[in-house]
Amino acid sequence: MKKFNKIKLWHFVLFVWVILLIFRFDLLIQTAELFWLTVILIFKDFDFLYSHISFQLIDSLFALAVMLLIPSLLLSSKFRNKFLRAEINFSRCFIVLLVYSFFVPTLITREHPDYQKNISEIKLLSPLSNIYQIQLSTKDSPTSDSIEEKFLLLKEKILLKEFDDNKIFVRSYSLKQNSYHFNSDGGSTDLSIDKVKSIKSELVLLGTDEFGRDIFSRLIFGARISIFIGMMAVVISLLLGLILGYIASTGNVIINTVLNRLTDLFLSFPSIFLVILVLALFGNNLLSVIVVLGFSGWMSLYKIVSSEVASVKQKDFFITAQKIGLSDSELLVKEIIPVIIIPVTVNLVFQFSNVILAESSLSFLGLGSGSEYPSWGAMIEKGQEYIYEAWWMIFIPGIVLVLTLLSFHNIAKEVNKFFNPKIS
Amino acid sequence: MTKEKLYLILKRLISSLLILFLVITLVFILIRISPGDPSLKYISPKLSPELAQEVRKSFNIDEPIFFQYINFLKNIFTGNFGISYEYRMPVLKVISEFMPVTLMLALFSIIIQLLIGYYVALISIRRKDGFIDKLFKKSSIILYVTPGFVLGLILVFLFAVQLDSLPSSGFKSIYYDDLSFIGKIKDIASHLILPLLTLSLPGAALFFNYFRDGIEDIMNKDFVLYLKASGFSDKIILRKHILPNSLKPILSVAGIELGFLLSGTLVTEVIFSLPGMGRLMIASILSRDFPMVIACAFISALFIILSNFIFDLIKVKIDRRIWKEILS
Repeated sequence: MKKFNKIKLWHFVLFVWVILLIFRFDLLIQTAELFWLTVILIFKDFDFLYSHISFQLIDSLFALAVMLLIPSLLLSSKFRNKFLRAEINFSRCFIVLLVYSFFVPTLITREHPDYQKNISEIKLLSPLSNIYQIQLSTKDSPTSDSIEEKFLLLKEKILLKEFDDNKIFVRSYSLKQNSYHFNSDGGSTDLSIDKVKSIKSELVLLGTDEFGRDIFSRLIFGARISIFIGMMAVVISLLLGLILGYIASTGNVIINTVLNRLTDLFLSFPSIFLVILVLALFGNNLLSVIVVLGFSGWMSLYKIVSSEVASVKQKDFFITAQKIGLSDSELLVKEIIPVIIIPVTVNLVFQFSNVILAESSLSFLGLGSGSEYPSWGAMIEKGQEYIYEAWWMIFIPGIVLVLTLLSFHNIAKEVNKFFNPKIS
Repeated sequence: MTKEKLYLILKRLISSLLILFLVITLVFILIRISPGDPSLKYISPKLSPELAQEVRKSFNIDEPIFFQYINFLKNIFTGNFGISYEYRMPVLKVISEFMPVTLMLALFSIIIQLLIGYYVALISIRRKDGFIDKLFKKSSIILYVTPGFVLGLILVFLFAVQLDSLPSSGFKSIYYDDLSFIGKIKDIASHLILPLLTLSLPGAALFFNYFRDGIEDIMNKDFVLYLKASGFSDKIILRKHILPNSLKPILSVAGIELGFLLSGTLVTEVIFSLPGMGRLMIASILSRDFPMVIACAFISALFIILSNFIFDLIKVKIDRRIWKEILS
């Protein structure tokens, strides 16, 4: 019975899913409607759809797909048992949360990461402070039944907005003689009561930054960028390491020595300097950061692959397989890859956390993926300026970054232990 | 025996020189294929074409790349790294002004790291599997993964903003010149406490783990039991037998660590705005001060190679049996 008492990781995944479903049920229904309209429009009026398609739209539809996919994946016991059978612990849960914020950030937060709400009032608010959202009444546009109109209306509702004319955010307001009185844009403003549709109180969960942007939202979207950069860079170093390592183990002596010298060269020099040099000389943007970080991490993989492949080739089972008459590609798939996949996986997880660390350091130094994407390192760098007024601007992204690195460190250790039980 | 040793050292020296050569070549190529002309910053449109040509000539960028490279190598062999574009001074002179801070930080930091790591590991081992041991183990992992800039800013927030007891930036106070000798030392020390903590704590956590695992591993060996049975005191066993045996992996890590510290402790210097090598390097990269970049890269690589070599020599000193595999 004891086996059934323990909480597994997939319970946590389901738990987060249910919470998201409860809080964003309306939104998901609307997204489904939008999806249906999109499908209709594909056949009816493709040019119109094409002119309105954007990354955000695809992202919202993708979030819906992910939300539908998660329960169906969890239902198949094979998948559940293979990946999510592990017992629950802090680092695994944190990584689940990170994966969620990678796939469905628009469901977790409903604030655009770049939405500057009323700079003079809402900037540098501490966590858990209250603000008021004044919704201005708008003229009801005549609702038409055409699909295009419906599509645009729904799209307006679902996508996160970078700016909204009909909303005013204030810290406090007062009601005087049929008009609302509040501070806005450096001065005080009066707004007659019939212009206002509704006033809602809002909680700023993790505070706001120097432009009045929501830190929670920036954290979630920053996680997405960090994970994206990490994955892409790791894929690049994986490919480089595998290919070069395999070449070194099969090729002739000259190639081998050249490659070994090159690894020595890169290992004998702090790679962060080369990364900074390249980024500063050739310009930094998302793509160049990914490529440079990917290229700076292939050395350890190369060393592992070349030494492992060389040692496999002297083992009896490999020689037997060779004598039986397996072709080169068969040997690679059946004999070599199963052996090298273990150390490579362990290395990849470490590499991933290294890339996340390097990316945030680069952003901290102002050489990251640019200001159009929210990034943890850049948030901390901005927080340095406001260290006297706003501690949360350093601590919140800093703690999230440390927890991320810690989780990946622990996961890498667990993977290592799983594959090599002898290592304590 | 000594001849063989000398041969191995010579071999290592040559391979180090090769690596240095490759590093500067790589940096040179990267700089020359990068877009942009560094001299444009110093040539105003009003300058006559002849004078502009003169400036370009003084920057050594008016010749074909191959000749530039030959000239550059010639200059480096004679120890001449050229003149900094930004400072209008010989590069080595500028570096010699920025070097002391980095040297001081790196040397103090590595000593602090090793000492903290060692003594905390001893405390932890004495209370094995107790509360303190577990606490140290957990917190060491957290400290180890904490990035330098997060740790540095948290320290600044605690000690400089909240407690207002330590200065948060710079290397000297403004009134440094008016102080007495002891006052000067105190002033610099108070400025260096936070950077040193930022640099040392993650490394100390790393060394703590190495020391703890190493010492514990050796403690369970049979020869320690034999020594205890023979009546040696615990202190002597620890100092003379356990410590030297557990030191091998620690020294290799320390060599790498010192190299990285000496080549410039970039993020820490940026946070605390210390005039060190890392900041010089980043500033020169950003302002395209190319002779400076190359010289900094050269010196960084040199320091990394040197510190690895020094710690390898210490390793040989401790365990003479392994000199062959270490030096080769």
